[in-house]
Amino acid sequence: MIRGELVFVTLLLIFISYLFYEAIGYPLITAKLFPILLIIIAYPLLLILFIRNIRHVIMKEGQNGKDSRNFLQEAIPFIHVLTLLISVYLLGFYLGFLIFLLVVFRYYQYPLRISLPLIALAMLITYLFSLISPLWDGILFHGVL
Amino acid sequence: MVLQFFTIDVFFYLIVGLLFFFIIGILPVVGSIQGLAILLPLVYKLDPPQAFALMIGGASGMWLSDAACSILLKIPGSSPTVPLTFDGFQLTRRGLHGYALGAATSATILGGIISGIITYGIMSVLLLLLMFLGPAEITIIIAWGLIASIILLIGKEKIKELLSAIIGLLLSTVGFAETAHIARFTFGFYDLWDGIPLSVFFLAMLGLPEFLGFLVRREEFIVDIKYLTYVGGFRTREFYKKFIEGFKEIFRSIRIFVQAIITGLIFGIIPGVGTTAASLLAYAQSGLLTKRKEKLGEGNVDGVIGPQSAIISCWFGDFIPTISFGIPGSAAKALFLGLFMMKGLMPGPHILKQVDLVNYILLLVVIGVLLGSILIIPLLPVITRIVTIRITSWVPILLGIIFIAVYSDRSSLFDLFLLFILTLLGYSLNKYGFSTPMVAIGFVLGGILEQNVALTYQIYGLSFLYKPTSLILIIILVAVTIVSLRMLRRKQIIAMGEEDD
Repeated sequence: MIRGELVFVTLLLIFISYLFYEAIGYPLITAKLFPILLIIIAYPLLLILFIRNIRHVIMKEGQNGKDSRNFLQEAIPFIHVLTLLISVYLLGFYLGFLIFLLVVFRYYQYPLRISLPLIALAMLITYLFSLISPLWDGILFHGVL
Repeated sequence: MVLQFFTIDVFFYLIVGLLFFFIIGILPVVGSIQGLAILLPLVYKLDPPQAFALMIGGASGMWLSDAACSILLKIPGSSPTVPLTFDGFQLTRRGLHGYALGAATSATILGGIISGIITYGIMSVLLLLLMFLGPAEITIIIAWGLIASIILLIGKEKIKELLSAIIGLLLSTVGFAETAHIARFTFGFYDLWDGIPLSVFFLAMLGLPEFLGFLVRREEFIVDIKYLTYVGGFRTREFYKKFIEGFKEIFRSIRIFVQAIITGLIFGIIPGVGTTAASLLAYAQSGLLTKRKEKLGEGNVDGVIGPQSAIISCWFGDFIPTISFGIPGSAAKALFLGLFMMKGLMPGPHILKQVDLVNYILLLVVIGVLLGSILIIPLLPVITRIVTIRITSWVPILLGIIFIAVYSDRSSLFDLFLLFILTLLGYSLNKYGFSTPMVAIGFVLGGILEQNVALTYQIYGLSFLYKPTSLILIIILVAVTIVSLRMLRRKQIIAMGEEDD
């Protein structure tokens, strides 16, 4: 029964605490003044949100685990983007983008007569971009070459 | 001279920008902000006049295509054009789409010209005042801009708004600090020494979370084909006759038009209030001032003229604080501010050395609005068909283009990983009620604010608050905030009353 906002606020608190720890270590006052000032303002506000969320969870006014139940469905578009990222990294823009499009159009169950012209269009755009600036070849291709 | 900037290249980029933003204006998922975020990585290699023509000129021309989407299809292209769906669509249902479009076009064109002239006048005076401002005063103005944006936002959680601004300011400190000659918060990545690239940041905060949100919710806009048959009824003699009739209607509603222009300009100048509030309040004012026999909401053309004029004048008014003081009133203007800095146009007293470029930008906005209004009408039958395409089919392609554009900025794969991580942050912020536009505004202002804070601290210490100019400025800014707050409250009550009616 975890409220998503509580997790997010806690992560923000941890992250800001780390930034505070790092900022304190800077030797010059001009380097640390601004970030420390900001963190000092942010801390009480985050604590207010944190306490408010805890109270919601205790009083069971939260979303009763709805967040965690929907998590997988919500994560799917991000998994798609991650697929694009990893496939571009491994295979370069042409093949990476192609695989990503195949995965996504398959997921949304598009027929071939729609997905093929769209893929062709995407490849054409990629080619046009490559004329302006060189694109990433991918580590697999670098290895082969 | 301003005219030296207007080369054939500039007009080419302006037309490309207009066509791009016409499509963006029609698409329901994306607004001007997402369009600008997509274009930002692409303009790195362009000269400032070309980049401004593509982004600023293009975005200025999209308001009529946005309005057309609301009037013809009842799908607001972006939130400010929501009031146009009330009366504009009622007119379309009665077959008077030409009439409604004519009224919207006249409001856009006349509103653009008049707001442009007023904005130019106000800017000229402000540029003279800028000579008297030092780092202490700039610090006070920027801090006020941020605080006022948070105070004046209607119906939002203030704690989360403030936190969002702080997160943006903190993220702006990543990278090499010029004030201290040290790299901060780089987590061991050398790619972060130059800070987070503006294009990556804006896409991650304002662009991608919106697209992914639609994919998560699996929202599709169902467009009733029978309304598209109205759209098909273009290019006929009847359409143009009604169009000209609608165009002339503005002269019968001159009071509503003037009132809307004033509301829009004021709301544009005050940071944080935004175009949506301006157009909603102009709609409420139109209800109070209308002398036509139809009630508002039943196909009264004043319900089109008022909001559309306010939207245009607010768009212009927003440029005043953005260019002169570096305080963006909205996310779109934060993006423009980022673009200005990327192209070496620093707001504040530095801008006095580049007055020609400032005048060029203002003229570009006027030309963008006029050219956009002229070009969109013949293109409407083609462009409106775009809404029938499923979102899930064009978002993946757009994602690929975004990835390629981000990579080609610095030819760095690290930027793509950064984009992914920041998009997760942007999506979470959006989901849990934080304000990503405030994060963007904080991020853009961070650099200028820190520089001025450091300078002020070195020159005056804390005694800068007791300087006569600082004291006068603080009093004026507090007074402006209180007056704006009172005005907003009163108008909110009017708007709520209208809603009840």
